[in-house]
Amino acid sequence: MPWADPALEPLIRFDRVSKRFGSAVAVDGIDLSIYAGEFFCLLGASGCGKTTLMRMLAGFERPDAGRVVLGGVDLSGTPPHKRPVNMMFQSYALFPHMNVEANVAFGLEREGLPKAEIAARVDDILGKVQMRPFARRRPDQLSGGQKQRVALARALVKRPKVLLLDEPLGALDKRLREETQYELMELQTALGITFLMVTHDQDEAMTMADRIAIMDKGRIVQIGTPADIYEAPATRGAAEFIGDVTIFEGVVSGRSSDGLIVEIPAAGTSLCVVDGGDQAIGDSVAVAVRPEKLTIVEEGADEGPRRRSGNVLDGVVWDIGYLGDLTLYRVKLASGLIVRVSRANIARTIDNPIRREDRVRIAFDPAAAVVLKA
Amino acid sequence: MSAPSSDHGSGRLVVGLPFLWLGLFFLLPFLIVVRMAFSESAQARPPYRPVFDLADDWSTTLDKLSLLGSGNFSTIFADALYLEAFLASIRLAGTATAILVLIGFPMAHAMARAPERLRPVLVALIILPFWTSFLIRVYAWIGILKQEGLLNLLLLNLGLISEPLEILNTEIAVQIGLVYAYLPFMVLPVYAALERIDPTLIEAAADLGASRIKTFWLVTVPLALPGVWAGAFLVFIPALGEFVIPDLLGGSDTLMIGRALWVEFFNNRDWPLASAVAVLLLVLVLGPIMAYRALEARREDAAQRSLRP
Ligand SMILES: Nc1ncnc2c1ncn2[C@@H]1O[C@H](COP(=O)(O)OP(=O)(O)O)[C@@H](O)[C@H]1O
Ligand SMILES: [Mg+2]
Repeated sequence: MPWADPALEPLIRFDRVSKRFGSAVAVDGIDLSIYAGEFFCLLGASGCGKTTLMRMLAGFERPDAGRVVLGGVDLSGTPPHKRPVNMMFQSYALFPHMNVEANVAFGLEREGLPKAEIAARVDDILGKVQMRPFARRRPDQLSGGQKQRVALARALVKRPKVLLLDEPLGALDKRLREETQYELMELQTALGITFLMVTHDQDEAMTMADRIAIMDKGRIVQIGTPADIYEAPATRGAAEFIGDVTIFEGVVSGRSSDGLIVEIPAAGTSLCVVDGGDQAIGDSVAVAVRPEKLTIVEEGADEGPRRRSGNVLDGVVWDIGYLGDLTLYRVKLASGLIVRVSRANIARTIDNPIRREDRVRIAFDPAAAVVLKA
Repeated sequence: MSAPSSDHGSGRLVVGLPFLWLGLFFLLPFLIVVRMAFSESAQARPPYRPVFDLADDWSTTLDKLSLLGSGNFSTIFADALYLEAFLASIRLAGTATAILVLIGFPMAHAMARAPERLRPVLVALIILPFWTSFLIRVYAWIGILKQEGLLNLLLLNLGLISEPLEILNTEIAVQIGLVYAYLPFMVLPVYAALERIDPTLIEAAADLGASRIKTFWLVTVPLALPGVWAGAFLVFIPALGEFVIPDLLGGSDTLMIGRALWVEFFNNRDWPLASAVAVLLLVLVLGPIMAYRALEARREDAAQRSLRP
């Protein structure tokens, strides 16, 4: 894991980079290191500055402050056409007056390579993205998925140090998007090129990325592997952005041997959670629990969760979402707070399934929850 | 393809109306002109006599047709003056078109790259001259180009020349007039084509390693080409038959075909001959249009064919 090795020099370094458009700050003092060979993902809601950050690496926007460094070289004075990075545009930006072959060859011709080499490399990359049969077509004769492949081939054929992908799958329908996700990951592994991808789709980021940076309002909220961010979100925003979660708002009331005791008005009780060490008694906090970390049983069931952990809540099943592999329960507490609980459907049939409006008991371990600043 | 039966009739009307318009105001007058071109000049009112008569029987018509070889068209082909006038028109209109591409493209390019708020203003400035009479604007050029005109005054005062240049009543004056008068017709279609170009295409070219100049020649120009063609036709065709500009700015030795037509029609009152000139002018204009259409059709066809790999 290159990011864990402090001796390793990152391939890309954003160094306190800021960019404003008029009075609006698009990117606000971002520090970010990306290592060679990574599949790195910028994730955030629309308008949070992802594209702007990426465009500063490509050279289409000039930072107002800070530096962008690639392979140890400050890129400040380098125009876009001299940067060893290539971008796959959100709109694909294929040249409409050239056929597929000419589009892909365009970048190699600019390098002044011999014709035979260009032809060979174009043919090779078109094979890799399965577009060989369409080499003579013009972009307006291609489907969305085919255009996406050509755009990818056109950028990859340059063998860039970094491939930039701005919402590369945004225009594809769901099924094609999932297929393409895996193809992109395989290509990245096969070619060993560093990928920097922008997306607002958390599932896409989780599936594809080695590491994710969550952005909000021009700043980075958290950087980490998908598992890091899912299991140990740094902020409430990060927890809510990635995956499903229930947030209990409360106040730290004490410490026990099991951990921190947090008084939760909406639960009508206190919860015990593992002590992060940076909270004091009296602090307002948010306790975040993922749905799969909770267990759910019908009230009065004999193998109900023991009171050992202390985190047991009573409620009524508000609604049930059957997803095939999982069933998602939304349980309403007496206070009205909705808690999300999921259960894997391990058996095909269950004797006493939980139904809507059943009274249930839900429980979780202190270690299953995360305490965050409110 | 068939329209829903309920509004089949109105659909046909919508399609038919432009044809009706063209038929009424283009084809019909043109047929009248063609008929006139095949007539004989006469001391009459109107000053011509149709050669063909509906009352003629079949053999008389054939006889008359065989006589056509000696009619107005052969007069035109036999007289070097007309050939020269045609050639001069093609040369002047062609040169004007070429100069207009060279001036109009950079202008349109600058307009398309201007800040978005400014563009409507720039378009309005291009259209602004249309608010004054064409005739007056051409007249104004006389004041600029004549011996003691503004241009000579300026050049003399700058010390660039010692003698006033003789520009007015030369082909150069006609050339200047044509370029001036038709500039908007070149700038606007080229601007429209340039403005439609997706800016991310320009970024994509830079991203792939193309310098600004390469990007201009490999992406911007090819994508603006349809606009340049449209502008070239909008300029070349009316410039070919232009009468006012050569009449006002050109000397007696500049003979453009539009002027020859005027002389034939009004000075010599030879309507049939003038009509024959008009018909030939139209044929001349039709040539390049058909060639362009054929080219377009072939490209479309090639595109269609490549759909089946
Ligand atoms: N060229 C521009 N001019 C003005 N504002 C811009 C420009 N590009 C981006 N912005 C603004 O900067 C912010 C970040 O935009 P962007 O980086 O495109 O966000 P994202 O890609 O995360 O959706 C947005 O508020 C957007 O309106
Ligand atoms: Mg974006």
